[in-house]
Amino acid sequence: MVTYSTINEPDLAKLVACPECDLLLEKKPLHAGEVSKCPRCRCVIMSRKKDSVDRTIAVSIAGLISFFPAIYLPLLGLEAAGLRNEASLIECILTILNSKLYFVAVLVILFCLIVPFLRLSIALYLMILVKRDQASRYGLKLFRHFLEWEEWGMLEVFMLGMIVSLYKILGLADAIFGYGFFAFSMLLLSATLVSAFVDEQLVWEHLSNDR
Amino acid sequence: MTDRSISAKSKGLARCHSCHRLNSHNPLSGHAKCSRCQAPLHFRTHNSIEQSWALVIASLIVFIPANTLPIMTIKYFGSGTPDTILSGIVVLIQLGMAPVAVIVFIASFLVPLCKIFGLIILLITVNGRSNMPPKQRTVMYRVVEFLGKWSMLDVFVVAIMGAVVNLGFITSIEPGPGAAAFGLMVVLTMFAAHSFDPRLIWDLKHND
Repeated sequence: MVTYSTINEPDLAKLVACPECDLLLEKKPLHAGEVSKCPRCRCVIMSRKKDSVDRTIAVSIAGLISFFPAIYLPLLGLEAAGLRNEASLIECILTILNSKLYFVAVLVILFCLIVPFLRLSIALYLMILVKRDQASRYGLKLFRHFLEWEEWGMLEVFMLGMIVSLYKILGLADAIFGYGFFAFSMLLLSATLVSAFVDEQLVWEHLSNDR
Repeated sequence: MTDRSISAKSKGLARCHSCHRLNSHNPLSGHAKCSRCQAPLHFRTHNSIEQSWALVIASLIVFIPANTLPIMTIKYFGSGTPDTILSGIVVLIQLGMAPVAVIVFIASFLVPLCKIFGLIILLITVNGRSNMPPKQRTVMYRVVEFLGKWSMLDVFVVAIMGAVVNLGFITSIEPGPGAAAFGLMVVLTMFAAHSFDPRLIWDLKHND
């Protein structure tokens, strides 16, 4: 509980407001692995993660390595009457373009290619900045986008889409898993872990020198 | 404890929506920026309620073509009937794939509807004429936010099936315009949830 009547600038760094109910609270120093929650609405206010920087670097590199196989290698295929056909993510987008559903193609390109790729690259770049303890205005802007784009990365939804498609294909013919399916699983795992490992507070504090 | 709680806004402090830093904010001073990350500063999301209403109504309108236009046509030997989302689910049940049908029904039909009606309830109750506790409404907001992207499922299924199921004359799948309408509806509901500021739920409590 905060009882200041007037609050000056240096004290501001010691205070924090709940993102979901705006309750004014004093910042609590956290140890690695600890999470602080709003006493009123239980929203997570801050968390300190273990080995955040190194872990994020490792999984973002893994994600970038699996990115190109995941989009160029065939994901799924089917076989019937001696004929077979496989398709990669790029071929899925081309088919949609051929059907003149440009809006759908834009959605797939944005949510399954561009956003995941940019988030992995930004995470890697920012972690290198944090490791070097370099303050960067541009980095702060990038990190803002990194956080805002999180809900627009839809690899996990696409994965569920592949599983549903797989069942639908099994209703028509024999299904085939392509190498792309495994690369895509790796990409999804890496992208999910990047979101889990990034320590928001740490990045803001390091990039702005505001601790 | 709730009665004595202080909001940052009541102390003239605005939390940056992006980096969480508190800034002292004078709304009369024009376009203020966060002292740490330079994001535009507001006490609450600008025109939150109006924007959210507009997007919710738009998504309700697009919900109609999304469910009546065909999302894909499965062709055997050159002919086939177009499927909408709901008729596609019926086909899945007929093929004996009830569990998959349930997933598709939840993700493509129930979730978008629940999202739209959840937001409408939040928007109606935000002015305070409701007995629904703020905590319960915050949970509701979190559910709507979390569900957001999952309704994109059917759009991706159409994209995958269209490319994979292509054995020339024997069998092929033609994506339909319903997929575009459906994708648009999902994006609109995501923006609608995004423009709703959950802190408004608690503001009346501060004023008491």
